[in-house]
Amino acid sequence: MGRELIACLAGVALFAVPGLALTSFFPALRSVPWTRRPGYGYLLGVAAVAGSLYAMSAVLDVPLRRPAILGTAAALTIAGLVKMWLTRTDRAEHRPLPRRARAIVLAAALAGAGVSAGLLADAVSEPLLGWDGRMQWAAQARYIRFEGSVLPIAMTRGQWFINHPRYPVLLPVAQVAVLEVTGAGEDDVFFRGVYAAFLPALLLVVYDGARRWAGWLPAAVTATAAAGLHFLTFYMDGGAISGYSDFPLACFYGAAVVLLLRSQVTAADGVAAGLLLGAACLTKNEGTILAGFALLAGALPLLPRFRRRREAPPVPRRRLLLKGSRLAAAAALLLTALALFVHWRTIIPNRHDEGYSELVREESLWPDAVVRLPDLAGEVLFRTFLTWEHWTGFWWVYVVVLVAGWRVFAGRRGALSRPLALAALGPLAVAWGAYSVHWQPVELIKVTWERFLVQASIPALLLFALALGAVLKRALPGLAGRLARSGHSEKP
Amino acid sequence: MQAMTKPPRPWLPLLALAAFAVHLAVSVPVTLARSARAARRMVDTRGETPSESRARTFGPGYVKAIEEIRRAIPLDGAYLLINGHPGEEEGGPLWVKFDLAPRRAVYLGNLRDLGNVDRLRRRMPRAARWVVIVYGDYATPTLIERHRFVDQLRDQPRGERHGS
Repeated sequence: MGRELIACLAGVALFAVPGLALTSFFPALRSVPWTRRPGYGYLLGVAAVAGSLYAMSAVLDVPLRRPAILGTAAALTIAGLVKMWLTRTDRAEHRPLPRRARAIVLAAALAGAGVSAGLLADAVSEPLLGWDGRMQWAAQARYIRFEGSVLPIAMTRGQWFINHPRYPVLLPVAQVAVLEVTGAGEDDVFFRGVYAAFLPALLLVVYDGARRWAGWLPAAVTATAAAGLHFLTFYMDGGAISGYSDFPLACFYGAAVVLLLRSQVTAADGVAAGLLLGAACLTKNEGTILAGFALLAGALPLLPRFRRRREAPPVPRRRLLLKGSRLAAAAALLLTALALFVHWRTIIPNRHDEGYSELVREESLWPDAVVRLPDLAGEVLFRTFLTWEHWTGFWWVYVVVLVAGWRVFAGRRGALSRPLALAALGPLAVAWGAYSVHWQPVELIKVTWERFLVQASIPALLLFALALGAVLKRALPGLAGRLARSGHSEKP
Repeated sequence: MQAMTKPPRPWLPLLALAAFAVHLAVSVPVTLARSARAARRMVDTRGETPSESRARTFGPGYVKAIEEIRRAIPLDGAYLLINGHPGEEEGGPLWVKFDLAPRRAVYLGNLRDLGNVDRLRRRMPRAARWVVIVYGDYATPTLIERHRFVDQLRDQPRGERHGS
């Protein structure tokens, strides 16, 4: 157990340490308190380390062995530490919380830490279970590790049996990095810690975003609610405990949305968002579409019609330009990642794959997208609202809170809640598209719908926190007054 | 006088808060209990090798068979993978493929659908010297040399191919 625990933690540190150092490059992340920064740091670390290894192997044919892996992690860490040293005086002021608030936030942190520790314990003691983890991601990792290349013979020659050989392999590369560095044997699953660590990262990003925009109490309870959701945590086919790529994708996508909607604006922060969007693109096929939704959500507050609303304050031209440059920087990195992905996948003959791009061409997306809705709606509603063991009724509560807190869509808060709603709807739109062209849509819904909900989780939870803030204000005005004095640190 | 009276509390926000409180009170303890069970399991299974932990989860027969097949087929080797017990939603061939990776597989499909032996031989890559037949989730897979498998197949009429 001791060996496995150390190896799992070393695997997490391989990404968390360089990532945390890299946060010093980005002003928006430098202003995040150290207690929350590891969330973004870990995601940036996986994006930067595994992304660099993916690119080096695909483009330069660099072997994915210890020297390349440790060298990449060390180079990124040193660069980040140097930047940290150079910007050491650039410290953001953080307003301390009142004592009672600190107790509640601490309780939320303990709940999150408790659930995360359980995931780590499972990762240390149990073999990998679940369908896609073994069919897809961990199987690909074994072929990649054996040849030290993201283009192993098993994938590049069409005769060999590989499921979805053209699915992007960022997470398998991350697995390989951990297994190589720890010298893992054939059956060691030290990489499971890497997947488990995405849960605390998600909780920290949700807490950080919600704390900025909704206040400490909605932030703390929303993060606690996320930690309590079975499907997000201990569900073997899509939760953080599994080897599926949906949860990491949710984290990359959601954290990028938060960065693109932050009121603090520099082009450098667009680079951070772009790194995360690039990682989304290299994590799952739909990651590229979701990255498009994230950019659209970031662009929404810049649209002239949106800004001209009566309630919205005028935005200075310089600020608009800065927001535009942030989006442009993010889009540039996303395009770089997309170019890498396209270069890599063109070398691999496709087989054993649903071939959605062909389906969209052959089948009639229109009118099936509408005609099929009545058949699909029943299964979607069942999966969302009646799978008690997966969500414990969370989506019922979600709808009630959103209806009760509808005011978040009006006034100044609308500038934030509408882009968040768009980002939350992005994965669901992808699902709708897939179900419109698939030959067995109801069967597909059974195994994928809730994973699309996972992908939408960060913007959806942030929207929930905003609505919860509005609900608290209406139901408990006295408490809301105290929240206003101690919570909000950032205006939309 | 009007300023003294408090506006009535809206029922929907209160209902929303109550529903959320109930949800938190139910879901968080359940997940924390799951977490505690995972931690307990970690302590109980300390000292287990990966092979022992796999045997506990997948069954000793399956794990022993996989280890024997791994010894027979080298890491850079290849094999033909056949589903001997096709059923709905069965992952058997996928789990075996995962457990034998990075050994490369050619999937020939269901045993009972294999068809003409000579045509089948043409589908078999030269590099694949072994045949692995899977009989459902975590049932013991069988390893047969390719030429023996082809001989057996030739002797067996199509309707009787159950892979026993």
